[in-house]
Amino acid sequence: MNCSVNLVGYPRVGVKREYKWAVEKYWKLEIDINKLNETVDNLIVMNWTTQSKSGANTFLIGDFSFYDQVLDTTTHLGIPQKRFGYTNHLDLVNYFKASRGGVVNNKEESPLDMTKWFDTNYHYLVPEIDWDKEFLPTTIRFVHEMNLAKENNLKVIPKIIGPATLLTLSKTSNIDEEKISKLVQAYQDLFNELKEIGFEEVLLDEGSVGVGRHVLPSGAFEAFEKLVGSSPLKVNLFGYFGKYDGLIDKIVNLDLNSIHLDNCYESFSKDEIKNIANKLKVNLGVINGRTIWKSNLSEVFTFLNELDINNFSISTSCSLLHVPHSLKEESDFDDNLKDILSFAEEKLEELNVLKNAIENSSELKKLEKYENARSEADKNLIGRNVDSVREQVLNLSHEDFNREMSRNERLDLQSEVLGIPLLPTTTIGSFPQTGDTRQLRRKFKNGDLSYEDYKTGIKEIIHETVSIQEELGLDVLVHGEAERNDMVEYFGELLEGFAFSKFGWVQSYGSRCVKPPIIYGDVYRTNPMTVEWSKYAQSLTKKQMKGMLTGPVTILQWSFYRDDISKKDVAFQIGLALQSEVLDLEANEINIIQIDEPAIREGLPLNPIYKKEYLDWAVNSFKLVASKVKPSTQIHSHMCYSEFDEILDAINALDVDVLSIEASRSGMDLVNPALKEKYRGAIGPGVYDIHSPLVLQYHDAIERITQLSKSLDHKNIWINPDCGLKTRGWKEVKESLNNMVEATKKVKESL
Amino acid sequence: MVFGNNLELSFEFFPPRNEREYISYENTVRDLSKYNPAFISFTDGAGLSKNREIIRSVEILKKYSDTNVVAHITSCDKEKEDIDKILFLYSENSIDSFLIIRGDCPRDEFLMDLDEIENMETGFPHASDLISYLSTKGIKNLGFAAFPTGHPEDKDKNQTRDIFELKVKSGGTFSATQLFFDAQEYINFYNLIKQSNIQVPIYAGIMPLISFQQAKRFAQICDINLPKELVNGFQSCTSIEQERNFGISYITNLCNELIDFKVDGLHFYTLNRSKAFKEIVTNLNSDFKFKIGG
Repeated sequence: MNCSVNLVGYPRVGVKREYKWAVEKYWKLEIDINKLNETVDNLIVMNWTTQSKSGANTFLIGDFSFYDQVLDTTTHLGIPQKRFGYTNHLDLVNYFKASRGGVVNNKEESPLDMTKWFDTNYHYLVPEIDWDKEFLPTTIRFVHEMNLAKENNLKVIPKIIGPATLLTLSKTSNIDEEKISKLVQAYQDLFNELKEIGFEEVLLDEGSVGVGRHVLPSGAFEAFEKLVGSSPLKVNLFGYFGKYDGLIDKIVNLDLNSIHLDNCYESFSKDEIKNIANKLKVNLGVINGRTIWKSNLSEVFTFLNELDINNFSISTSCSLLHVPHSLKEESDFDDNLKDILSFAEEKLEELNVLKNAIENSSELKKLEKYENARSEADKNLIGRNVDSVREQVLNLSHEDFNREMSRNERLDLQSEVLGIPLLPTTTIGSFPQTGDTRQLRRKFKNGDLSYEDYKTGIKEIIHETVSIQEELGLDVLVHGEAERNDMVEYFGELLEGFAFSKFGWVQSYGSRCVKPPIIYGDVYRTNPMTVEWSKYAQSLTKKQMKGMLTGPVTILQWSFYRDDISKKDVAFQIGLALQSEVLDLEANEINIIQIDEPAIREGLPLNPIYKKEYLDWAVNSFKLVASKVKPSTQIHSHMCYSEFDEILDAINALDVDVLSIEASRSGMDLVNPALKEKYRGAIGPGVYDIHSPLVLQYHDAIERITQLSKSLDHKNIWINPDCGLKTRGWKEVKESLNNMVEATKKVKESL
Repeated sequence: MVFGNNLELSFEFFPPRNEREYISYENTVRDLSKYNPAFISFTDGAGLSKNREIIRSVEILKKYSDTNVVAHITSCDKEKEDIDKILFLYSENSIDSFLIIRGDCPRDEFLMDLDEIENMETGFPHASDLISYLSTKGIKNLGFAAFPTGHPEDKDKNQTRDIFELKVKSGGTFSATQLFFDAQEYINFYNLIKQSNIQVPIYAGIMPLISFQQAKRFAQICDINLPKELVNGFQSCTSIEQERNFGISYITNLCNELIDFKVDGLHFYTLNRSKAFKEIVTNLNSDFKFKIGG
C-alpha cells in the first residue's frame, strides 16, 4: 500500500540559529538585504533537504518567515496595516517596521501587538487590517521560493494561513459580507496567480478551524467556506490543536482535496477518522509536533492498521515550529535520554520508518527495532521512575492542599507576628543585574571560579542590595536574585528530573528564541535551592526578608514536559519539591515566601470543556507548595493582571495571603473591579511601571497610592512596583523606590 | 602628555550617516581645522561598528589638517577578534590613537535569548579591559572617558576615582570627560584625581548648548542633572533665539571658569557643527591662547 508523507511545517531559525544571527545583523545594518536573502535561501534549502529524510517528495514554500507567518499572510495578500501601510517581502522595510516598530510619516510607531499563537510559546503579530484600502495580492515571495526549489529540483506547494484563522487572529470584529468578499477575493486573486505559474494545490493553514467553532468570530467560518467553494487551487485543509469542534460535519461536505487531523492534541477515535475518511482524503498527524519525545511507533502502526482505510497520508500533528531542530549536536545527553528524545529532524525519521512499514511489510522489523530501542532506553533511563516520589504523589489527600486557618485570620495573625505596618512597601523580587553579576555566574558555570569564591561574590551583591533597601526604608526586603539567570532554569538546574539541551532553541517571536529545560524524570529535591541566599540576606537585617520561588505550573509550562505521565502528576511532583524548600525556608526564619506563578493562565486548554480540570490541578499544585507552613508564615504571589479575567476564581482559590499584580501599565485601572469582587486576600497593585524608562515621580506615587487606599480596604494594601527590577538600571530604581516609599509615608499620615 | 604640551583644544565628531551629512561634515571640519586642534576624535557606536565610516571621515579631514586622529572604540560589545580586525583596518589607514568607551551595553533583553543575556559583555566588559588589551598590543595613545559627576553605576566618588585609576594602570594615557554643566564638578573631580597622584590629562568635555530641549535630551542620555541655574535660565527664555543666546553664554562662562582653573584642555562635542563653537570661542578669556592657523 502506498503511504505518502505530507509535511506541514518546520522550524525556521536554523540548527545554529542562523536566521537569528543574520536578521539581527541586518537590523544593525551590518549586512545588506542581499546577504540576508542569501543566508535565508541557504537555510530554506537546507531545511528542505533535511525534510526529505521523512520520505516526503513535496515541500512547502511560504513556510519560512522573515519574522512571523501572520504578517507574511497579510503581506502575500497585499493587505495594508493601519499604521504601517503595505508591507512587502522585497525590501522588508515596512515589514520590519510593523514587526519591530519604527518611524512612519515622521512618527515613531510601536510595533504590531504580539500575542500567543494558540496555547504555544510562539508569539505572532496581530495584524491591524486596514479595510478601507485596496488589497493588492502578490506572489512575489512564493515565486522567489519556487525558483529556489526549481534550482534544487524539488517539488513544492504553497502554504498560507487561511481566511478564518486570519480573521480570528487579527481579532477582527463585525465581519460582514463586505469584509468576507473583499478578503476572499484577495485569496482568489493570489491563488489564480499561483495557478498561472503552475501550482495546483495549496496547504491552507486553518489552525483556528482545527480548534473549533468556539474560537472563531462570527463570519470567519463563512469566509473559509466561501474560499473553499471558489478556490482556483485544490485546498488541503490544515487544522490542528483540536478536532474541528462543532465544524467537522460541515467540513466533510466541502470540496476539499484533503483534511489534516491532529491526532495528538485531542485524539480522534477510529470511528471518527473512518467517517471523515469516507468523505475526504485524510492526512493523519500521528507524530506529535508539540512534544520532544519519540512516539511509540508500534502503537501508531497498529492504530493505523486497525483503521483499515486506504486513502490516507501521514504527517506530524502540527508544524514542527514548536520543537528544536535536531538532536545531532547534543553530545551531553545521557544515551538513554537521547534515545527517547525526538526533535524536528528525528520526527522526520519517525515518519519515514512509519511510511516504510506501512508500504512494505518487510520494513516492519525496522519499525519494531526502532520501538524496542526506545522502550529499552525508557526503561533504563535513570531517574525516569522514582518510587518514593510516585508514592508521595499517590498518597496526597485533601488535607495536603489546604492551610489550617482561614485567610482573614491568618492575615491578622501575620500582621501582628511579623510586625507588618499599614501600607507595607516591598519589591517583587529581582534587583538590577549588572555585567559583573552575570560575569560572576558565568565564571562559576565555566569552572573558572570556585564555589567558595562564587558564594562570596554573590553574598557581596546581596549585602549591597539589602543595604540599599534599608536605606530606602522599604518594609519587606528581598535578596535581589543575583544568583538567578532565569526564574525556571535556575530551579530546573537544582531539581532532579531535569535535563538541559545545548541547542534546543525554539522560536518565541521574531529572532527571539527560548531553550526550555526538559523534564524527563520524576522531579524531586535533593538539597535546598534558595535557603543559603535567603538566610544570609535575613541575617543582614531586622526587617522581614522574602523568600523567592517559582511556582510549579510556571516551571512545568515553561519546560518541555514528559508525556508518559500526566501533566498533573508532574505538577504535583514539582509542588512537593517546592514544598520542602518552603519548609526549609520557614525553618530558617524566612517568614514571608513569595511563589511566582505567571504562567497559570497560559496553560489553559484551548477547548473550554477541559478548562475546569486544568484549573483544578493547577491550583492544587500551587496550594501544595504552601499548605504545610505555619499560619503566621505569609505566602505571596505575583501575577500579570491583563490576563486575569478568565481565571479570577482560580486566583482566589490559590489562597495566597498577599497577591501583587502588574497593573500600572498604560490604559489599566489600578484596581480591577472584578478582581476586587472575587479575590479576598491582601493585594499589591503595582504603583510603578518598571517597563517604562521613566522614574516614578513623587506626586504620581502619591496619587496612585491615595487612589488605592480609597478604593480598597487599606488594611489589606501593599505598595510595590509592578514587576521585578532585573532589567532596570540602579540609578532609576533607587529614585523610583525612594519616591514610592516617601509617598507611602505621606499617604499614611492622612489615614 | 601624549600629544606634547600644546594640547589645548580638541573636537569630537560622529561619522556621517549619509551623503548629505558628509557634505556638512566636510564644511565643519574645514572650518574647525583652522583652530589647530590637538586632536580630532570620532565616535563609535555600541553594537554597530563605525570603523569604515571613520576611515572615510579621516580621509576627508586629511585634506584640511594633519592633526592627530583619535578613533573611539566601544568595548563592551566587542570580542578580541572584533578588536583585532578593527586594529588591522585602522593601522592600514595610519590611525593609531584611540579613545576607549565602554558604551551602552546591549540592554534590549526583550530581544535577546537567555544565552546572549548571560554571555553579554564577554569580550571587554569594562573599558579598562580593552585599554589593557590594546596596551599589550603596543598602542601608545590610549584615551578613556572620565565621569566628573560620577558614572550612574558607581556607588560613590571613591569608586569613580578607583575606576579612573584602574584605567590609567591598565595603560590609559589621557582622558576626556563626559558632559557636565557645573565647572565646580570638574574642579572637584580634577582635584580628587590629582590628590591621588594620578598624572594624566583630563580634558573637559564641552557641549555647546543651543536649546533647553537639547540640554534635557543630553542630560537624560548621559544620566546627569542639569544645574538649577541652567534650568531657570532656560525657563525664563521666551523665544528660540533667547534660548540659543542663553545656552551659548552659559557654556562660554563654563569654559572661562575652566580656563581660569587652568584646565588641561577643552574637548568640544561638536555634533558636526561649528557655528556654536565659533560663537563661544570668540568670547573666551584672552589669556587662553589658541593657535589659530590655517
